Amino acid sequence: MRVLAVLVWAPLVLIVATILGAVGALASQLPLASLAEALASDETRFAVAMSLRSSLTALALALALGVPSAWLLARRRFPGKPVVETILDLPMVTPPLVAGIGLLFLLGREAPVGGALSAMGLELLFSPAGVILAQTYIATSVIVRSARAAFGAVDPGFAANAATLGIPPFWAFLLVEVPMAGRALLAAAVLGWARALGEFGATLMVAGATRMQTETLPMAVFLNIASGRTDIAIACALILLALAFALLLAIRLLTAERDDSLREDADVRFAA
Amino acid sequence: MTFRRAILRGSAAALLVSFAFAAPSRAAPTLVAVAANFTEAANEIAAAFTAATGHTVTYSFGPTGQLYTQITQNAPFEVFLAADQARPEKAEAEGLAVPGSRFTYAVGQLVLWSADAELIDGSEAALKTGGFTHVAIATPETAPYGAAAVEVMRALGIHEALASKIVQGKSISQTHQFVATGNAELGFVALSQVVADDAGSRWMIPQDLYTPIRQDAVLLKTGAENEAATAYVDFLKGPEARAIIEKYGYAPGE
Repeated sequence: MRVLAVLVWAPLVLIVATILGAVGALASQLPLASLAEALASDETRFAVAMSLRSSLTALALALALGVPSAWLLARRRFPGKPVVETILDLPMVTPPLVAGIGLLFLLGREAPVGGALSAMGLELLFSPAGVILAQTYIATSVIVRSARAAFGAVDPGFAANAATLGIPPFWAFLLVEVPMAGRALLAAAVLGWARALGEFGATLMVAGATRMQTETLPMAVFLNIASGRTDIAIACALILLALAFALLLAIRLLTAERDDSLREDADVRFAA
Repeated sequence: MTFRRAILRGSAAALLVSFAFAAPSRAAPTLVAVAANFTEAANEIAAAFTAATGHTVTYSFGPTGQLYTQITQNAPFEVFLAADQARPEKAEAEGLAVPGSRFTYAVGQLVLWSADAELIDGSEAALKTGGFTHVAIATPETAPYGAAAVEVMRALGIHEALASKIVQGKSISQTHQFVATGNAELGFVALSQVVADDAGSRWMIPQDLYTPIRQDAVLLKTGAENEAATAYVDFLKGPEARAIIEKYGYAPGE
């Protein structure tokens, strides 16, 4: 038993220690005065608000687009499906910078798509809308993939049963399938949101790094490093980490169910 | 069906919330694209510019290549402050900039720098004696400071001998990080990165050992009619801006 305990606990301890070590190393470089300065500055507050607003808006858009698509992929067969699924994976495997260049070329005013949008008075590039666009692009792909797996794990028989009770398909989807895939969908949303919150490469290309306009927290880190304020950059990075930690922990605690299949590990004391 | 209506109302509210946040809010008199290495000096120039002229300037920072790509895609930038001469030249050649508006606003200065106060004695001696395991330079192919570093080592006749000790940073800021953290004992960095830093030791490399690292600016066509944009270009050439540029470790342009 002791060998098993070491084998399973040691990797977990190593991973957690490495993560804490990296965060701690950041924190150790940060004078308290700089953290106070960062927290008091309008710019940091703007970046915090911008990051939260844009990433949550991107999450809402990505869910609105991604969840129905995922359902379709999990429930229906159609010609060319493997190709479509692979296309959906592309944003996940391309470097964000490449995604950003692609979007920039697609939406530039000279390009047909960008020109048409511009004629309608819609300017997505170099504005906060550009930030949301880049984040949504990156997050949607993650959400489609995880949500597809979530729906795949739900027996389609339940929706069929609901249909026999006279519930229209749309409501069966919303009231039966979505709640049944609920926890896995939540996990998908968390992953998508995390990608949106940390997004930098595509955002820089599509929205530009303009102080107090398109400045998200990752952008604030970049701008402060560029202006030689490494301390403020680290402060912004830690604020980003703290926000993400608080939100993720809150979601985890709120949705935690008592699972009786888990047991307290009697060997914890040994490993500790 | 009240239940159905409640759900509809809920989704409508969610949509409204997402669009409210997405609405752009832009009110920039002149928007200037600035190479990231010039960030600090640019910020101080912005304050002086506003004090002197009443106009305001907003910056978009990034690597020069990225800014150039954005300009080719009709980014709303009105002035372009690059970290090299090639991109403003290209912008001019491609009709994106006002012809004849290009000028050198700053000349980068290369310095050999170490976080160790004892290592460099104000000359090239430390490079030649080789009492170190790593010397950091920026990637010569993409970073002008990296290419200049190679020129200096060639001029001193030690490039071959040091080849195995050279570590390359992706950019000049990464190169500076290598040296500042001591992961490389010394390295070729920009004076602007260490000008405010009294610690460590350095050798100011004579300008005749490398091709001058000129940073050019150009007025973009988008800004030709904007008074704030042309005023910014004029201000950048003036004595007040030149003093700030020098203070941040660049030689002012001619």
